[in-house]
Parts: sequence; structure tokens; C-alpha cells
Amino acid sequence: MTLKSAHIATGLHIAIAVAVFGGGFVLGREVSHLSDEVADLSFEVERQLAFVPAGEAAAGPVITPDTSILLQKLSALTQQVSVLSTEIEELRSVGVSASAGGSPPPAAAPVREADPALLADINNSLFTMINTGNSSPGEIAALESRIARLPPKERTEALVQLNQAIMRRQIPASN
Amino acid sequence: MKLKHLIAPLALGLAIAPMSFAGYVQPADVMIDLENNYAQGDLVTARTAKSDDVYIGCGTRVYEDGVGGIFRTGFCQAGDADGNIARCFTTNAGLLDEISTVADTGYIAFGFDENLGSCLYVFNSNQSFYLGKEVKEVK
Repeated sequence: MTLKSAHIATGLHIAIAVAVFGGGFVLGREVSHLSDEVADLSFEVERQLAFVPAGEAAAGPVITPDTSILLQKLSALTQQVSVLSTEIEELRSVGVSASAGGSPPPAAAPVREADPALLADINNSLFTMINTGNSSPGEIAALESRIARLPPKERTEALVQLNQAIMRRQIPASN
Repeated sequence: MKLKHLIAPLALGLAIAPMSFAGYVQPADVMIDLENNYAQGDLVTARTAKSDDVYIGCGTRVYEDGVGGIFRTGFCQAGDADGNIARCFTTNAGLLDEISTVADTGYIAFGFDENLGSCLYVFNSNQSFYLGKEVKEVK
């Protein structure tokens, strides 16, 4: 590893460590994803820098156009990690100040669990509608009203399935 | 032949003939681009298309969500003369607002995510030139 790449990697590792361990579940996941990209890019930069001919190595690393592009990407990702780290820190400080003020820390919104019976009923209805290929507007409306009662994630998944069925003409076009 | 026997058919013919108007027209046929995941067209041109497969439009829905709130969703859909279908759905408040303002004589365009089918954008435009030169009064 060259001095330059070692410096990049160390800086990134610190930033990622702060971000990942700093809190903020969603942001942490995003940072984790970015850190994977950073790791891949760092590896690629190091690989390209390792191919510097011996005679040129003494004059310092040669930055080829490819390496330059990778470094630019790396720089952009580093900035993103930095921004996310700051956001995580801000979230933490809000939590700390709320606690210090005597009020409880902001509670995460309760995650709604999908009712398994409702989910099964919706899947069953979709399956039946697709197989019969002859759904009335009332049946589709009834299905959608049950989909509306699902938590957001499952709701979107059901809407995706419904949309695909209409695109495949398995369910008539919506009114 | 009495004059009234000539006038009566003439008046009837005028009554049922389409009314023609001057003015610029720029009909937008329904077109579905499955490479760019895009569909467009105006409602009047779609409705008066020769093919029975052609249509375009958008709609919204509001449902009670079972936990004291409402769930709003909307969609845009189109079918072209080649039998292609495009459809997208959205729960995005901004896109729902745009869909809500679609006029029955307007132009619509929408883009969609190829895998999810969610709407990426919705355009609508109301212009006199989508109305066409001939408007048939249907009673």
C-alpha cells in the first residue's frame, strides 16, 4: 500500500467507523453500503497503483486516467460518508439533549407488523384474480382497500404485484 | 315536392354533422416507449383512436388505512394501438397532486420504474390544440 492510499484508507476507516458506530439505524445502513463501495474502490486504486513500473515508483505514484476517475469516485464517496457521519452525530446530539432536558429521548416510530391473516388473504385474492382473469371493479377495489391496511413495506409490495398483473392483462385496467 | 320536405332532411343533416372549428391542433397519439419506460398521449385523441386498444389516463384512490389514517395512492395507465400496456402507481404526495389536476381533455405523460412499476414522473398539460378540429356532441 502506498503512502497516499494508506492515508485515504485510514481517513475513510475513521469516517466509516464514526458513521457506523455513531448511531442512526437507517443512516448507518446507508453508510454501511457506502463503506462497501469505498472498500471496493480503495482496493481497485491500490491495485492500480501497485502496477507502477519500478523505475517510475521512485518518482511517486503515477496517476493514470483510470486511477484518476477512481480517485474522484473515492473522493465523492468520502464526502457522502462525511455528510452522513455529521447527520448521525446531529441525531445523537438531539437524543442526548432531549435526555438531558428531562424528557425521554425521541422514541422510534413503532414498526407496524403485517397481520399474517390479512397478508395471506390479499395474496390469495391476487392469486385467484390472476387465475380467473375476470375481476370486477368492485373486487379490485375491495382488494385495494385491504392492501391499504398493510404496513407501508408490505403495501408497496402488494401494489407492485397488482401493477404487474394489470400490465400482464391478468387483471383489467383500473377505473 | 313541398319546400318543407326539402328543409327537414337538410336540417337533420346539419344537426347530426360534426361541428368543425378552426384553430391550431396538435393531437398526441398514445405512444408507449418500453425502452425508456415512458408513455404519453392526450385523452381526446386516445378516445377517438381507430384501435379499440388505445386508452390513457390517471386516477387516484383514498382508503381508510385501518389505524386511524388514510392511504392515498394513484396510478397512470395507457394502452397503444400495438397492444402495449404501460401502468405505474404512486403514493408520492407530489405526484398524486399532479395526477389530481389531469383534465378530461388534457395531455398526460408518465415514466415508470421498469421493475417496480412505480411512477417516476407525471406530466399533464391542458392545451386547446388537444381538442381536435371536430368535436362530436354525444347525447
